[in-house]
Amino acid sequence: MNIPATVFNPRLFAALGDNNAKTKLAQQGQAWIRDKIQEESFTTKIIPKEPIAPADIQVSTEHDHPLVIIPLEPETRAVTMSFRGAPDVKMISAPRIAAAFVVVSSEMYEKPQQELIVYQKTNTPVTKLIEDSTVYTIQAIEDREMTMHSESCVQAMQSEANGGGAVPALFGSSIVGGTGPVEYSVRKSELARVDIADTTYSWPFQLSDKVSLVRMIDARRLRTETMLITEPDFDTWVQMPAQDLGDGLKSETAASGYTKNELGGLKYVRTNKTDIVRPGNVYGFTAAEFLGKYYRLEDTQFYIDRIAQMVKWQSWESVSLTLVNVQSICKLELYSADATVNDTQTVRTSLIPLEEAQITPTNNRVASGVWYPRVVSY
Amino acid sequence: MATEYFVLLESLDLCCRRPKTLNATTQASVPPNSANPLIMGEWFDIDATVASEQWKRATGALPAFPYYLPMGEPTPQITHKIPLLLGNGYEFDTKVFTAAGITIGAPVKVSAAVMVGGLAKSGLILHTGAADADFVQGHCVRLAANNNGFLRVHRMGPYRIA
Repeated sequence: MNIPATVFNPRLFAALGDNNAKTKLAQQGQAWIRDKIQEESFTTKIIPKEPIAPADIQVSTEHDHPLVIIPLEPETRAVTMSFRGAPDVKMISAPRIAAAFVVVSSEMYEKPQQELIVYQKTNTPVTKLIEDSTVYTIQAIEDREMTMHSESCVQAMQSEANGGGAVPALFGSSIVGGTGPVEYSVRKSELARVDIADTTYSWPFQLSDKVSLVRMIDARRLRTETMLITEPDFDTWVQMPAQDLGDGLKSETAASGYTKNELGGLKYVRTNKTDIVRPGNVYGFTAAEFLGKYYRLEDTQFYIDRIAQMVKWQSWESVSLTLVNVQSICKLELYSADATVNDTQTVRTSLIPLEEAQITPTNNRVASGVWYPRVVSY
Repeated sequence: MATEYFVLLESLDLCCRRPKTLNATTQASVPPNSANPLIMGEWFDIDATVASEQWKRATGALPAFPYYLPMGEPTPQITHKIPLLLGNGYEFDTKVFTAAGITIGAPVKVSAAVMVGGLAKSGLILHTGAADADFVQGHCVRLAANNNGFLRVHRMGPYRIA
């Protein structure tokens, strides 16, 4: 639309005097196109990130890496006995583990300051955009670590429940054929477990799947508190029938989507990071006090400097994430294929987090010359 | 403090360094209580059998780069990645070498059979010249006898002579 500046500018200045119009103006005035919705870390919604002071770290005699000692609750027992009996005597001890820190860093960005003028000309605060984006990128890496460690926990328990040794394969046709493993910490959903095609197709999440998920943890003197689910899988909740949701909620869901904070009393965290939590993977977690610890050694640091004509900038933070109690996590798979290391259908790469270098993929295809209408200029 | 096997004689900030993912076999050697733990100063090359970039203890046949983290430092156990010095032009002292035949100025290469504490490590040995198809990793500038037991090497490589 071609609006003459003589018309547009007075309207613009008039709108700047109106507080209600300013927000909308700011959005309309944005020169750049966003590529994706940047999402806060889902890990911190499951295990809050706690600051840790230098006074709380431990040092090693062998290296200069700070450690955190995480104590665990000691085990106690009781027995019945007669009036003349005596219990076993036990020298108490409580287990402890060491947790270490890793640096999660953005790339080091650099640009000659003369070339940054180009971005000023196009009203694109590129350094600020990158600074803001790297905060989310760093959190995405941390979420990836959480997902990888969660997967390790559930598969370790699957191995233990199936006699130890190699993790048993878990896929639909084996369940239907009666040869599936014990589903102790990983379970196929109701629709996936009858799908003999053994594909990566993510079946809709049903209310009965929520029950299957939480029962795994709830059988261990623990309580499932939070479910982690991807946005595409959450989108299927609108399909839940009225006999599961109730007529009132079904009507509301049909109109506005599922808007409650809980499902059957279970909190849930939705994530759009489908390159990390792949669609079809649903995790259940206990409260953080039964699960693990998540520490930050320092707030997110941001460095920017100009050396001669080169401007450089970088963000980083040091964190320690440890999932201590491997029984505090369970997993529901909405697909029938095997996601274990056995990779029976050779589709596992579609079911596990992408490599670090591949996550937060770009949506636009501008680099490939795909946008419409395409105008080539030089 | 653990034995110091490798001393970088340049500002770390001036050295090109990157975290590189280890292959599954080498990951088993990361914990300090493993059968043959990784030590600082060992050399690593790329595992050509893996499609995604993964690294392993070097044997000499491929370009190799030194590992720069003290044994027991826990980060590799978490990330399965180790920092490698990818650049050139710096000097370093190392105890991960076999002295036989090395003289001042002699080229050195990597071998997976350098004995340190009774265990075979990927360290430096003499490169024998034009007939040797392995990569040169640097040149000796100071012998261990005159350098507190460390071999001083000027990192200049990797390159092949033939």
